[in-house]
Amino acid sequence: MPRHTFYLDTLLGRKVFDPDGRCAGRIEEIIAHTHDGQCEVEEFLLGTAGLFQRLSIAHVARHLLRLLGAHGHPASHRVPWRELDLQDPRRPRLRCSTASLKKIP
Amino acid sequence: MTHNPHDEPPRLHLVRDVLDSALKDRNEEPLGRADRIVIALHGDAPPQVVSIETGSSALAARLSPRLGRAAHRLGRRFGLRRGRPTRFRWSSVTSIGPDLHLDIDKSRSPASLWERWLLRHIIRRIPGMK
Repeated sequence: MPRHTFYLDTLLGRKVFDPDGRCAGRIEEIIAHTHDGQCEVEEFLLGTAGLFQRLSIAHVARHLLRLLGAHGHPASHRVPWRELDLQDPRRPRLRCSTASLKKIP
Repeated sequence: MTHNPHDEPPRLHLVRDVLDSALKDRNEEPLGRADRIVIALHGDAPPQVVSIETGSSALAARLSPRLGRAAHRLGRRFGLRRGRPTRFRWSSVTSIGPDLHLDIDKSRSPASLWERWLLRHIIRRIPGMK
């Protein structure tokens, strides 16, 4: 099977659309795990909550937003690696609907 | 890097924990920064981080494709590595913390080509320098 490589930064900030054309959010962070000297991507974090995790201000930002009257992030989702089609990293596409994704609290 | 107490593999945030981290060799000598992360797709397997790139041409290409092309042209004309960024395999990463530690010897690494060139051609010619 041929291997296809790309740079992680190509994905950052890209909008992700589901098969119905709905935007699920922008890719802000990528979670991976390491084992046996290998590093495998587990999931992609989309939306404002993903950005807050990337900036390490998730808890502070959540409390601050709650104080200001906001409830959750409308477009913040976790996407398991299987559900994201990365054949064209400039146009990442969901393999499932946005509604079926886990929300980031 | 987040460590899980239940023996699960450690999770890390690639942008927060890896991208732009300082790279250190096995003797704690600086090797540059993790300017780009290379991901590989291989059939039905999860995407895998295969290497880390460092160097001004890698950083320029990340900031803007046009800047990257200009840096590559400059590197091909004047660089010691013909404008190619230095690439380290992920398998050489030994630990991830505030810095990324690699099982690499800086004195043999292409990351220090410029330092060695400056040492040989300029610094050693300064009277009083060894």
